[in-house]
Amino acid sequence: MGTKLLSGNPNSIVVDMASAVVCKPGDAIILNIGATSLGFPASNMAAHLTNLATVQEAVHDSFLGIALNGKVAGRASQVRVATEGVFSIPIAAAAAAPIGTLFGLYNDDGLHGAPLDQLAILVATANLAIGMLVKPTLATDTHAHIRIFSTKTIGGPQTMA
Amino acid sequence: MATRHVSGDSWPIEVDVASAIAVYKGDLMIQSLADPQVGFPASNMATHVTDLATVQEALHDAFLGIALEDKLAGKAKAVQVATEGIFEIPITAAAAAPVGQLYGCGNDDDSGHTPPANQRALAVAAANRSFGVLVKPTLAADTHAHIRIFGTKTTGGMKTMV
Repeated sequence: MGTKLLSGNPNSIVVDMASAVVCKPGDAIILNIGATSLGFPASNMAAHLTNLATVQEAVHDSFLGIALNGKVAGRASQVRVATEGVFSIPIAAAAAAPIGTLFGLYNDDGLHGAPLDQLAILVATANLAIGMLVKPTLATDTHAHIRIFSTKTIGGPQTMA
Repeated sequence: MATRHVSGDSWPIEVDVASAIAVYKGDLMIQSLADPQVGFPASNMATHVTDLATVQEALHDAFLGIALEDKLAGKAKAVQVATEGIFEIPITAAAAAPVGQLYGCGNDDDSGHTPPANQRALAVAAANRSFGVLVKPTLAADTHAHIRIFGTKTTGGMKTMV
């Protein structure tokens, strides 16, 4: 089961996507930093950088939110994206974690592969994160309840004063 | 009158609380340092540290939100906790204060290092000691304040402007 919205006001926005791009509901969406200002699912990230942390920071820096609807390839259209809200998101390397644990995106190899659109893993710092855990996880859990914070519209997850 | 929710999306979460602990609706809830999988009302804080400012900072650092329901002692039950929203909260040492005034917790004597009170707020000077911000001016005679809260654990807590 993929990512789904559980609760909270998603403060949704509409994002333009290139015709060739496929987007599924629940995909993490990032802003193309190039001249076009289009959004796309995180797995389309152009530069995969040097390691998982730099991939996660690149996602964090351009994170728009999570897609609420889909788009097929070959059709130029707009996708509605939640910039906030509590989502159930599949997780890699589950571990017992308390409320407040930061989560970022994971990729396919734990190295410098492109991020996966619907897979999260706990991270140590807010500059790698897309959200915070709002329900404790157990070591056997396959999904986590994560409150997301769009970096582009609200500055992303914040650390305390 | 105790703390009550006035308006705004409360972004509620469920918090596990140890069976022996009672929770009253309106209590300030914090995450346990010893076992972060559970929470409890602020008055159960284990370490009362050296003075009110450090008590307030300890509460800020572990602040989950405000309980939306009661729990009896002796009953194992998760409690719904609001992580945001505007609450009417009893205050001590009332003074005329403008919108934007920061509020942290009070304690028994509002000066020493006793545990925080569960349903009382006190004006503070810095965001690292606060759990919310005033959204309606107070007068010197007021006994309650309208405070917008921010759960530190799920929102990063109260922020100051850049």
